[in-house]
Amino acid sequence: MSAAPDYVEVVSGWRVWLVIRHEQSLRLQSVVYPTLWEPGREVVARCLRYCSPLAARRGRHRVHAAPDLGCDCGIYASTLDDVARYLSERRPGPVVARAIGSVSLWGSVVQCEHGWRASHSYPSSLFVSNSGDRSSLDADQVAMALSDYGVPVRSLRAYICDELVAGIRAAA
Amino acid sequence: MKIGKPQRICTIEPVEDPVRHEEPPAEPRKAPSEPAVPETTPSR
Repeated sequence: MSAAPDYVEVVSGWRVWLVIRHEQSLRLQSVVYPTLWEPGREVVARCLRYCSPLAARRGRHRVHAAPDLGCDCGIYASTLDDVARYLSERRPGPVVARAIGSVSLWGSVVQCEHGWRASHSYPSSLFVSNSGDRSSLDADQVAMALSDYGVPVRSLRAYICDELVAGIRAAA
Repeated sequence: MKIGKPQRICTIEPVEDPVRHEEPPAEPRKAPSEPAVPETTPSR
């Protein structure tokens, strides 16, 4: 018999995603690792830190479920103010835009000082801004494409991080 | 993303599916029941 869960309601945090082209569609991708977030499908964490061939050769490979208290793995989320600064971080690659949004976290969840690491996650709302990425699409077009995720999607006319956060607070 | 040191781990089993955000489809309307038809023609 499995143990009773501690909670029956999801934790809600905030994340930033890259918006990329994927098979004729626009999709969310994690910023640090190229994890694709597919519409209608929860993302399930696995530890990528100890799974690299280099780590395995060094004997550091330790298979464990994600997230683990002794590791840094899991699906990250934090507060709106903390994650918004990652919107301006530029990364190479075919990035169409950046999105910020709230996420539901559940399964196994590590509560940290300023956020969470979870085993399961899915967006619960998305906001797209005119981020200055080299893209032929404006925020409205990106927002429309992201409606595939089945969650509320808004486009915001904001170029500065503080304006974007204020816009999100006003819309929420 | 810097989220600080871990403090505790917990398990969450949501009652509602966090992936499904759409409003549930409206319950199909039942067709109005037809008035009962007498099986026999009333005699004059």
